Amino acid sequence: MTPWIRPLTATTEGGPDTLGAKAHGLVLAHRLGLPVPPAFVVTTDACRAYLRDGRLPGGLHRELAAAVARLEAATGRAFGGPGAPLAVSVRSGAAHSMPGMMTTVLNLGLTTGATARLAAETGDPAFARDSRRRLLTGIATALGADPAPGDDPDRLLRRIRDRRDGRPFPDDAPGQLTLALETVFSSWHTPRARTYRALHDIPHDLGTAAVVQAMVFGNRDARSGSGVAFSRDPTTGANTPYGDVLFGHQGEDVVSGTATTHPLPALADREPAVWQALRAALHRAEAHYRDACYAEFTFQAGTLWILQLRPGRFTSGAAVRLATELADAGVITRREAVRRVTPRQLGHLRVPRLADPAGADLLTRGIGAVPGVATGRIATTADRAARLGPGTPVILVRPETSPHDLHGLAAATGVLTARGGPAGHAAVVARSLGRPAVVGARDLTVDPGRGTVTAGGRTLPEGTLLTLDGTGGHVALGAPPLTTGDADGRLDRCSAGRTPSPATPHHVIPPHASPPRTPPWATPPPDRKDTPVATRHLYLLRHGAADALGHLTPAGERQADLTGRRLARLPVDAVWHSPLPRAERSARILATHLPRATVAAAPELVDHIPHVPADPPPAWAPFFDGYDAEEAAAGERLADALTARFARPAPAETHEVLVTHAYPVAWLVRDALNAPRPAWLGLSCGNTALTVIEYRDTTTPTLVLHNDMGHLPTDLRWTGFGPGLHP
Amino acid sequence: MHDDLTVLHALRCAGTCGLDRLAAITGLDAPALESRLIDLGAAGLATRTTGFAPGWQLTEAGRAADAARVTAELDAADARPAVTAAFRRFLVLNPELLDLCAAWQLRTLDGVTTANDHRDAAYDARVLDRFADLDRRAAPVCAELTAALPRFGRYPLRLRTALDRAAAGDTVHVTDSTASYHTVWAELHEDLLATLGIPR
Repeated sequence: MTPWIRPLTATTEGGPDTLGAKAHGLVLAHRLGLPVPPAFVVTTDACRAYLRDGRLPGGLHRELAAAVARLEAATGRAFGGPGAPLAVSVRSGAAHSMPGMMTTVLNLGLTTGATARLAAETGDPAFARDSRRRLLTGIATALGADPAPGDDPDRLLRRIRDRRDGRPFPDDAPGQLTLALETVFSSWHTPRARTYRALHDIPHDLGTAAVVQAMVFGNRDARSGSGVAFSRDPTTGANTPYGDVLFGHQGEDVVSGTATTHPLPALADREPAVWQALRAALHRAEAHYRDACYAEFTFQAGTLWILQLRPGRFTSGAAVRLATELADAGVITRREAVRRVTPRQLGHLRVPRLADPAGADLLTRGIGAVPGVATGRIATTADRAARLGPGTPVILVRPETSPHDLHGLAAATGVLTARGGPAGHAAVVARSLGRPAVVGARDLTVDPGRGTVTAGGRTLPEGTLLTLDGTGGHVALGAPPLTTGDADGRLDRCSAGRTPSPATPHHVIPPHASPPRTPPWATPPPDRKDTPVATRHLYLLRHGAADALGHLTPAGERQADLTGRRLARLPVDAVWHSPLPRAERSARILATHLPRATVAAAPELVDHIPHVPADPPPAWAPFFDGYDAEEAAAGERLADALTARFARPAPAETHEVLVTHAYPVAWLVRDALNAPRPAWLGLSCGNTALTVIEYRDTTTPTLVLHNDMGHLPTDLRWTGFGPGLHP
Repeated sequence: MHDDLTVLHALRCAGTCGLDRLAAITGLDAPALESRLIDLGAAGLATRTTGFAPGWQLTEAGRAADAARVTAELDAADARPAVTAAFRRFLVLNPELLDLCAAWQLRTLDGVTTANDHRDAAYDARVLDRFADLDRRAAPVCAELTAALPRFGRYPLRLRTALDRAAAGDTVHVTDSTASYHTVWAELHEDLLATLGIPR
């Protein structure tokens, strides 16, 4: 007869259907020679028998005793007997991933006697008590007894007894193990798990396996801890290990968020040997999977143990980067790399995200819950967000959200919370409103009373400009550059010479996405004859109305918002703005209506005098007074660079918005009309008035529109002009 | 519950509300509501907000008054044990409700989680079917609450209405409207916390 229990070794046979995915991953870890604590698995067959008959199958107890004896022999410890005590974990693990749906219990075997022996052995009674309290809390939670954080052991024991109809929690190790197995198997049929399976097409009759494993204690001492690790960054694909580590705690604290985790590289400083061992383990697993991988680990007194191992399951941009880098390294073929990148993942690439999270001034990082990028000013209450927004873009920053935040969520352009997950209240509402959202930023504290937000040791007042990236979960100060698409042309690289590129023009970022290293006017324009030519549609705007210090006024913000609404119907690929704050701000606001467009600075768009006439008109003479020849020459070079970059057709049809200043707009119009250079002086335009020029292949440029204010109400027109009558 | 406590408490549980939404929550008609709101405003318990989403909301005094009255009501009815027990059962259902809302909004296909574009009618029907199943299991919890405090009786009606509308094709009532299943559920959650005096 088939045994109910299999020891976990490099030679254990059976697939995930029988062993569960977790045990299956641990067998692989053994085969790769990774450090895995001794363990056995109770198969899904046993679970199905338990669920069918309402009791653990006959013969299981004998097999359990034998399996536990093997763990005792492997560890030199005793499960419930005299001597150094053995504690075990019992973890659910079905064939299909069902994250957070089923039960896991740690520290089993810590009877009152074993807890005392553990205290004596380690000389650390506090550690032994903490481990026992975790056992009781885990069992109470699994039984639905709803323990409170401050419950002492007696209270926990009472709660457990109440949930078990008066039967006390067993104080013998085998009894505890049996109870834990029954609890784990029963958790297969919780309503929430049933619903999850119904939604994800997982049959109800599979059952779960249970991994019984010798405990390693992340809470043992200061040189112990727990963590989770991806071999590469799962949102960017960057080839550095990514994850969280928690010193002095057991693994459930990492997942539950009850203690503050550190970014994984903190291990390198505090436990270099563990870090090296972890990197080596991830590397070996990657080479086996030929894919990124994910591991859960614990280290006890400076020694690493792997508790779970699986492929990384990257998506979107990270999947593209991973596939191309694996192909570059010869791990997979280029054909395989192209096959791995599905059309759905390419669709995801269209969503804007931070161009360079590592280069941005990051405030914190949480869970990207709703993809997209939002830039706005911090508001710490819904009321404040509703007062400012949507005229002023606002990021609503809350500890978590409730119905009281609905009007603020609606008024905000983005949402950031300290607590909650991708299915929490904030995420569900933000998704329904189409607002980019980052949730569960654990090191974030919000003080609505004082109107401050604190993270990473920095405290920011309301009104501070933030940008959040709902794909990667990054939150940065200011408005760092954004990108969409396969910014590095990785796909083209990996499919070059084989198949037509699956990337459409929208996936390719114009070549100036990051500021050029040499001044652009020093670079000669490419030879037109060599470039395939298509129409470039330029939408030229002067920034919104600004105050004397060059910051947008509320009227200027409304102008930018209305302009964005007007442009929203167009297939805009890119918004280029002058580096000056009033132009950048205008660009950010109007770009909130252009979710597909990239937003970046273009140095040529800065405010400058494009040409100083030799003989200025009398009214202008004072303006040019004191303007020396060197400055004039610099202005002319900038003006020429402006036309060289933008005033010509494009390799593929493109719609680009330029947010700049009155003079550069005038210069581009003059250039389009081929008018004499001084003619720019007569070509003014109002704040956010629209000018449209089309550059086609062979024809002269078409000036479609100039200084059009049709999208502005009367009180917002003609700002930026002097006093006087305007139509 | 007296009408003006009904309105006061609706604002406590739902946040800033316009008249239409308050009418849907309380079942009162617009003239009755306006008269109550004016009384609450005159007593300094509620205030009208302007700006992006104009409506009525509680003042700090209104929040305190609501807490005092709700606690008095709970103790007068000797309902604390029953409401506490029902709240526990609610908390078991709550993560599942959020799973369902996420499943309505997102789908995992080819290993990629994307927005549910609602073009797969069979998938949407499956999710709505699970909503109905959850609603059947939430019904006894709502019934216990209503037996303890009759004002809770509006919630099962409103939840049922949201699902019926969604099933009839008006799918904004799953997660995307102020009368959606998710919104009403979140109000019930807030109400339980407020009634039991549990801080968030």
